[in-house]
Amino acid sequence: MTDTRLEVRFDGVQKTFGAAFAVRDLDLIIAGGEFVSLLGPSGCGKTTTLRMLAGLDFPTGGQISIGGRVVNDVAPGARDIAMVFQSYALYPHMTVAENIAYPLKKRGVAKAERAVRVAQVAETLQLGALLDRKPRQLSGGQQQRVALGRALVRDPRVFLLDEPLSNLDAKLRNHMRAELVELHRRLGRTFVYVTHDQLEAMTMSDRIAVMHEGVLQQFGTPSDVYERPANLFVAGFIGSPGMSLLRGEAHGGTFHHPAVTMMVDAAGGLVLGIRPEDVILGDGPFTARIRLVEPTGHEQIVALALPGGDALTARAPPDMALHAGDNLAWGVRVPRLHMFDAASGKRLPVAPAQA
Amino acid sequence: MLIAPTVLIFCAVIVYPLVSALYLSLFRIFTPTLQGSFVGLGNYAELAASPEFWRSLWNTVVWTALTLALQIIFGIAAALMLNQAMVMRSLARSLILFPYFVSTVVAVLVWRWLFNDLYGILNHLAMWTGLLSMPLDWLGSMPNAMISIVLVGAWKYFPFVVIAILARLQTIPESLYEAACIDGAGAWGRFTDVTLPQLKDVLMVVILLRAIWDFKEFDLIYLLTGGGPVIATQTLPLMVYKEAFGLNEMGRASAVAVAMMLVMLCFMLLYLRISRDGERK
Amino acid sequence: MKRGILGHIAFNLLAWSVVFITAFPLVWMVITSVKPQFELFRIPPTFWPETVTFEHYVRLLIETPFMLYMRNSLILSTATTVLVVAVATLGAHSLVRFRYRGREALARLVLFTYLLPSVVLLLPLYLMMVWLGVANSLLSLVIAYTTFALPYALWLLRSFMQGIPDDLEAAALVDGATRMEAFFDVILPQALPGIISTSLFTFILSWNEYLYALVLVNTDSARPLTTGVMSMLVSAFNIEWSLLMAASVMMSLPLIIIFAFLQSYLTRGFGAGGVKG
Repeated sequence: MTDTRLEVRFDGVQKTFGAAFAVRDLDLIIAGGEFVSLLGPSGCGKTTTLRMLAGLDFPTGGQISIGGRVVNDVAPGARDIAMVFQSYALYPHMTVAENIAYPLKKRGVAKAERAVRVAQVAETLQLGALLDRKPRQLSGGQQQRVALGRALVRDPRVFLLDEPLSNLDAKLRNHMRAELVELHRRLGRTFVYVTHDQLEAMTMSDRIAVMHEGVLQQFGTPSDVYERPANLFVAGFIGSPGMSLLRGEAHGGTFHHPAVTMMVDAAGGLVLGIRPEDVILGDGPFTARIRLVEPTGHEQIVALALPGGDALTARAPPDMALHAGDNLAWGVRVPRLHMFDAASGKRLPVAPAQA
Repeated sequence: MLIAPTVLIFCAVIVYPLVSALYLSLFRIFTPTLQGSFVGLGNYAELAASPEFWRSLWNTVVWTALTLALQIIFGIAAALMLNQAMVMRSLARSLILFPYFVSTVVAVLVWRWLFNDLYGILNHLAMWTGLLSMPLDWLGSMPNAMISIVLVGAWKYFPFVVIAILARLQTIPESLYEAACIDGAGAWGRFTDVTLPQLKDVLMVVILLRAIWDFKEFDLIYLLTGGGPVIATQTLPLMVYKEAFGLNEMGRASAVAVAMMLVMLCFMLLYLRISRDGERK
Repeated sequence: MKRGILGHIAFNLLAWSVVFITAFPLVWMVITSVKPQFELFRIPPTFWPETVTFEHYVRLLIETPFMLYMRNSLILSTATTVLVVAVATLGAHSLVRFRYRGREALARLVLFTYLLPSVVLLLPLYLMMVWLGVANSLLSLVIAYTTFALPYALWLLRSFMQGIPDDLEAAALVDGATRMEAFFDVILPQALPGIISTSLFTFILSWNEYLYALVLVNTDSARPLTTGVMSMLVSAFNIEWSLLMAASVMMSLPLIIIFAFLQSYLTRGFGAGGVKG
């Protein structure tokens, strides 16, 4: 049962800068207590959307609601939200304790109670020993936890996080990912998380909102977005290594491409999408030449050159004998293929079949 | 609107005086009473025909060019020196900065005392070391007067150059010098090939700023020589003052001021054009 | 660039000679001010005073309006500094923070004021003071000094403000602060080094100003030190060098004090903001 008090809604939200659209026609409902990622490349509008939710930028059209209340004209401090910035934005001249206490101070919480709540948060995030230090005396990971603490201390309805892990090194990032997920589970509050890293989005979110050039591409669970990408952009963006996209023509029930032929119940320009793990190497009706083999330890990533010039990426077990320059046969797991309309980019609900 | 008071003051500071000066220059005004009559471009015609105006303009150009050159040379040299490790460096830095921050009045008093023909220590030192056989009239005859003000100007303002250059010097990565060393550059080579290019941006700005301020300089020259002997060191700012408050010709003074601004504008545009062309290469 | 120990010594000698030559005039000023009258006019002059006396200082304070001028200067410079820095801080913040039409134009306009010769600004200012009825008063000087100190202060503070990350203010807003609260709680403390530098510069600028004081004020009661000292002691026939040197030293005292204690702030001021294109 989701808590409607924690629900976040975007209705027809629009943001223009001059003549350029940063966010266009955004309709999005984030259920109370959900962890939603806004995912997309730089400039896709995800940070703008977050800032509008925070009240730091104003939509040029549409409405934003938190817990059923329209907040377009509400000041950031009154929206019952907390935000963790990419740069952490810790107040440099205040100690850790003062940083965490600041939001409480602004709400008029008494000094004694402030100290208690700060101590509680400090204990949760293991910041107890650092309370008297200044931000510049802390490591990146510690600063990030202080930023989290400052957000936690207010117990808001919605947590906004703007790429909070991007400034951390890889190992710490992995650790903090798990911590954040755990935190979300414990608090049960709504989390809106901005990132360009699809792995982060996939591992942490209940649902992902994929954005591109200001437009929402798809809003669904990680598995929705991975298994049934709504269009070419989502298909290519999610998954690493990315999906191979082969453009061809279909007529008379057959999809024609220099390297691949399939039966399909559609016509016109089509794009066939094949994920690397759905390629079967060594056995199948098609041929390719190996361009490059990249061993990662637990598997090999193989870059193949197809007749006609397109590229195909495949995963192979680590012990398979593969050498650059070799020619080999390959096939696909047919039920897992994706088909898109070449003109619109949209996913086609057709099932290709083996020719 | 936080910006409102600032905007207001700006209009007062820039627009109003500019417009006033232009407006006033079209009149002939008696300063104490501020009564006047319209003369159109008559003031400008008088100026164009006045040898005093052209002499003042020439003086201003000479003064600016010479003192600017010295300020830059001494400034860079001192900055380079202060950038090295030396005993009590921060004290040295403070002492070098002093001439700039001391009041012009103080600087002038001190230097007039130093230049004094009877008791001034400069004359005595020069005679003692044999450079001169007779005390020099530093401020009362030419070309001494021009040389003297140029020197005092250099002394007073070179620390500005030092500060700017030093700040920039400190940001030049050591690795650049190390690379140059490995490539076989000697000390002079390192200076011309590493230091100077890095300094170029700051230097351009510093030269422009100092040129403008030296061109405008009033206090120093007025208090040292009063423009003398006669008008041998009279610069345009001094002429404006003299016209406005000495000869009580407010209108003519405004005309000189406007002429001065036009000259500065021309030089500035020329300078910007040159530096932009230099960059495009 | 390693140097042997001899090279090191030679460099230090050279460097300190340069420093000494630069500082010499001011050193001479101090020395002269403590020489007794008769020794002052000895030919050839002595370098070190044979006796040290403070008689000139005493005479200066007692027999001349020096203290009056000093008082005027203090009031004047302090008032100007407070006014200028207050307005410039708010203005610089606005310049940096908000996007509105004409913002760039305004910034460029700031630089433009430095092109105007002070005499140009002076003439209409003189007229304005007469018209306002405050001619010949300290107030007229405060107004006048504000007009030329403000652009510079704005320019300096703007550079400092640009170095403050936007996120800080955003975080404060999200934490529940109003714009004003965010300014005082977060921006101001960050800008403090810049504010201090700018205050010091403005103070020194006002303290040292001569021309405006010369034109706008000609009664002793409102005269600051610069014009006061010049008028008091320099006449065609009888130049009182002893008093002049003592007065010079006294006039430079605030600067020496500021310098001695806050040297790091001054260099940071120029380095960070003064000479940006």
